Amino acid sequence: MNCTEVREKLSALSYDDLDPATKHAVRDHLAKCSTCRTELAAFQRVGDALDSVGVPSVRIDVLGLFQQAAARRAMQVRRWRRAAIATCGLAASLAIVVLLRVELRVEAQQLTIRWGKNAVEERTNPTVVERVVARDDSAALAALDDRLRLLDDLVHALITDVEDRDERQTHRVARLRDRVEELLARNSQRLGETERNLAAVVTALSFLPKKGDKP
Amino acid sequence: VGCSGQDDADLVARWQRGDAQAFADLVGRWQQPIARFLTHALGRSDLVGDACQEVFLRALLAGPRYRESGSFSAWLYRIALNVARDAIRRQRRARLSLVNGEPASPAASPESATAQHELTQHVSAALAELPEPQRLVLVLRHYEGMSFEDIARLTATPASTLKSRFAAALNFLRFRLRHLDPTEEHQP
Repeated sequence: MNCTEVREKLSALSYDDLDPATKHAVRDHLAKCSTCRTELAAFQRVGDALDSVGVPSVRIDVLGLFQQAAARRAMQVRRWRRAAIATCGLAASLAIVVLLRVELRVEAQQLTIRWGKNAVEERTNPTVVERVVARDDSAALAALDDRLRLLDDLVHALITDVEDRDERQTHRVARLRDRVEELLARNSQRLGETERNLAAVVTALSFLPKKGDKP
Repeated sequence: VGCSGQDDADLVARWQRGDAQAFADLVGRWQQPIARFLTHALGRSDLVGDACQEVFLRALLAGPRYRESGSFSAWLYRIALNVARDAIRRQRRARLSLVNGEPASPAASPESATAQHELTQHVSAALAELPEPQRLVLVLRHYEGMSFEDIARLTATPASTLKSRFAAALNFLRFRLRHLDPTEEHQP
């Protein structure tokens, strides 16, 4: 290996990232080449410099974490509920548009909103329309009524489901809060016990004979 | 990465069964290693407390979805990596220079406080100048002692790419910190 090849591998060598054969070859070269040894020392000094950066001591507030988690979950539930209600509303609107055959038309100087069967269609095939209307007008209205009722039931079922889920989430959050409070109480109790033990130790120490005391 | 994977697995299992104390124990065990990673990844000690809190909050929220694969630490570091990347992105958006922030604080003795502080500032500034991908691989390799294979799994980047980034980062630092080297001539 020449100096150029060895220098490309010095950073890897300083972190022991070379395979044994390459490491051996690089070490052989370093034994003979003082310039490359100086280069290696420079990489090792970079490592030492990196180690000089200290790390602040961190103490995580676990109780705060549980509270934050509960708050985030509650927020997520609210978002889901809003999204579900919006989706239901949209689905209901679309179903109404489809069932009632709502038609929106923008023409010159006027906006037309119409629903029901197409007038053009009725005009082009009057006999069929007349026959249908004459034969079973009330039956068609009843069928439409049934469909709307079904849709209404569906929307209510969805809303009930969303409310059930919300209630379950609320219970879950409440249980979590209870658990956190229980943990807090247990910690507080342990702290009290520790303080009492410490006080007992201090008292016991004060009764011990001091250096120089006569027995 | 982990020093006690078996114990972690046990604590994770208890936590997933609803034992809050097990989660508190995991936090106690991993808060300082994660703080060390975030300190060097962010280059600012004033952001570490909040970032660390965010890592464990995300872990707490994602806990039910965690499936034990023998490496809780790798999972936690992946969360920490995402938090670090988010924080770096926020810093960049806020157009705050990493160098202008409070550098990572030194653990100096009173006698060498000034020299140590100066060295820390130089190193922190040099670290902050590294592009994010190079800084992350340097931090994971140097400070966390991860192998390139582990880092590759963590970051979904080929090990060969990581090795190149690591070598480039070291070369940059060597150049950037050359004025601290007593054997090299000082160049203004």
